[in-house]
Amino acid sequence: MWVYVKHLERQVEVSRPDLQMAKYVFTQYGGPDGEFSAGWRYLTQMFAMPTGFAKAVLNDIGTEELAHLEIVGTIIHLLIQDASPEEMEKAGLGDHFAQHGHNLWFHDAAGVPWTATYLQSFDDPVTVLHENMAAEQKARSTYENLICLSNDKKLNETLSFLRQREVVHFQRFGETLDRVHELYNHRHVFYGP
Amino acid sequence: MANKPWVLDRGRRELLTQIHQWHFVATELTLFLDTHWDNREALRDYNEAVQRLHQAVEEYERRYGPLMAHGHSPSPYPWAWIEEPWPWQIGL
Ligand SMILES: [Fe+2]
Repeated sequence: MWVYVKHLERQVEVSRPDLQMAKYVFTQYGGPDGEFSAGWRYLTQMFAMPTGFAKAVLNDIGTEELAHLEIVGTIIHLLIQDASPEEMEKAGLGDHFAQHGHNLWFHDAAGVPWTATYLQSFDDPVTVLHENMAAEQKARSTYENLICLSNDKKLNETLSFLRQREVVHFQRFGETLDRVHELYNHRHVFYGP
Repeated sequence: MANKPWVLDRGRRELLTQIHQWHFVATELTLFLDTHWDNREALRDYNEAVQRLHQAVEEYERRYGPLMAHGHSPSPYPWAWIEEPWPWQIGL
């Protein structure tokens, strides 16, 4: 089970409301390579993993992604909470405002709703670990693009932190893949199960 | 309907920063140990982070109320879990 801790993984600050950036950052909330996709990809894949360490890696990175989802949600909340409907409309968030007001919802920067087809789940650890390494790189690239689009230093500090975590997750998934290969070699099953 | 972010007093901010730091060390080492389970140095650092985090959380909860519910932290009267600010309301 999960225990909620009443603080963010890292404090979030923004210098000013910025609806244009909010619109872009939405993709890390409900877009294909966002934190919601990441978290539930790993927390779903973990069930049929063949070894303790692969289960642990998926569980623990998935859990950290949920903390990142909360950080991204906080960023968007701080950026849009005081916006007028007119300001939302001007920034291309009129559709969002019509359906969700100032609250969050799962869609990407262009308003495309989240779908479970963004992620895959297999019982083959080699398959899922490759998917996850790609997912971490896609998230890293997205954060880099968001940082390029933003000139808010405080916001960029948080985006850089999230970017760095994707690099670490990629590394851990890569090590997990190596260990899985070792394990399968040992059993003379290279691309099992 | 302007929502001013909650500004925490200095002592609370500093304690929260300590919690963030030790929590982060523990998270990072958790992931590291998942793929380096026989690394004694990382394990020693992890167990130290656990202790430091517990100390900081205990102090924070004594002064500002529970950081966890569901049986993981006690509450003074009246039920303090519901107190604002929630994490997404805080501007440092
Ligand atoms: Fe990640």
